[in-house]
Amino acid sequence: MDRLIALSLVLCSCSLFVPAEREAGGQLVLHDPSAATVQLVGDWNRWGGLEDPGGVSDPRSGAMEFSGGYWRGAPPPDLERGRYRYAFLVNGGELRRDPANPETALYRGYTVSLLVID
Amino acid sequence: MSLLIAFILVMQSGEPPVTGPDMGILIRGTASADLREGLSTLSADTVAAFPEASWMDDMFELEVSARMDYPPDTQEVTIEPLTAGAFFRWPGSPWISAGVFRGIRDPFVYGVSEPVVEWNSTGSRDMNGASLEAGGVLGFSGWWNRYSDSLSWCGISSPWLGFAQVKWDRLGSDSSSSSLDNISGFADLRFVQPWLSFSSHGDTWSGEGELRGWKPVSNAFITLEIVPMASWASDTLGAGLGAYLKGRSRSFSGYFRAFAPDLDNAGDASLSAGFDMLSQAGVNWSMNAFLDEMESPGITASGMYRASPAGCGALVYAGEDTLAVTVSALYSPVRGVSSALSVYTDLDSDSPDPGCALEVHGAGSMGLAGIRVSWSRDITELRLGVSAWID
Repeated sequence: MDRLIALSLVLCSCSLFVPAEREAGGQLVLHDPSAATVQLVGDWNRWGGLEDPGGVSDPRSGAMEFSGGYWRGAPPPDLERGRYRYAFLVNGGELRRDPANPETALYRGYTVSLLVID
Repeated sequence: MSLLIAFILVMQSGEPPVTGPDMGILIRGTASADLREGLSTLSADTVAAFPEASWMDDMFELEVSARMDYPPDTQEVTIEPLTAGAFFRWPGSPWISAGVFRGIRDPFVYGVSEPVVEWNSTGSRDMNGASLEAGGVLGFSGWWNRYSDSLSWCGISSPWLGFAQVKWDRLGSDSSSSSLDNISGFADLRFVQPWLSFSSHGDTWSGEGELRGWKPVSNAFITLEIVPMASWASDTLGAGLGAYLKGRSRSFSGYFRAFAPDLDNAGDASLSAGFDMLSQAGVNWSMNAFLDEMESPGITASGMYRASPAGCGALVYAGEDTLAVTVSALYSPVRGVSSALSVYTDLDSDSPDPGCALEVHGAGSMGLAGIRVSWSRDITELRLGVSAWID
């Protein structure tokens, strides 16, 4: 275990990685300056409309804010404790899992991220 | 008694809902063409509009939506009602309500690792229904939904008892005379949090659980959480272990998972591991390796330099008899416009059969439009799509 701690300290201190762009308030962040639009979709908003009877994504649902190369958004603040699948919907068509979250689940055959609120 | 009534009323008080009307229309259109035959083959696949309106105040909630299709072949507009709902809420309380609906409130129940009842798995969104919800006492609430005359969904939930959450769901079908019961929840025992989910379907019981909160490494840089997990179905017992690494001050995450769904048959076990990181140079590195049922290995690795105005990257997938490579170039000249050119092929195949796709997306305040042109040996296709919201 000591070796693991030492290894992690070495990895982090050698500036291989940029600082994590995560903020308070449960914000989720995606780095993609090249995207035209990014939406935060998940079980809490019925996947941005994909699970509504119309079955099409709503471009307003879960729209994320862009600044400094990062897209930022948050799940609803009144979300009950529990487990929720989510993903970033990039350019209205690509479901991309959260690279900062190592926990995943399956949605429609896609690997998406799992948010655990306890 | 008056104290009890006062306590119940205090527990029922909540934030008033957002009030007022809201209406608009979502317009969606797609078209495609076979470019080998020329642009004259361009035709609309879907032209549809989704008008919706809702109105809400302290006591009532109304909503209605529809789908209007304009099929290019018949050129006759068809209108299909999608959702409708009218709900009454006890004044000043979010806990007590009753209503009738169509197309909304379809059952969804999440377990521990996956949904017990997945979205739209019951077909209930095509049914009319009625609902009752009551609660507020000690944080408990109960609900009952009836869909036409064949399906019911009811349950009792306590979002937070101070140290635990408990939820019971029952899904009953008159036609099959069967029901699904699920009891799920977790407890916060300070150092660990057990999550459990038990389901009964007919005479069959199953369950799964995991123990969270064990973080042998937790410092200013990273957290490492070890999560033991177990599952049980009839006479089959499964077990596994997950290890999740998150960077706190650096953009890094990694994981390792091992799970054997049947401890008597180690050949069914699966292993997976991977990491994601954003380098100082702005490159997203990602690698995932897996071994399904101890005999089907695979690995994906990618490096994407996502930047504005230009970026590039590559993705490699190596699996059984496959070595697929995708190389992409990105260009985003102004904010809200994104384009990507991708070339992909299977290097391990006798005929590599490369393909190419160019995608351009533009986003504005009202919506999104996209063009995709794809070439391969058999097909050259153009696809267009527009999705816009008008208030």
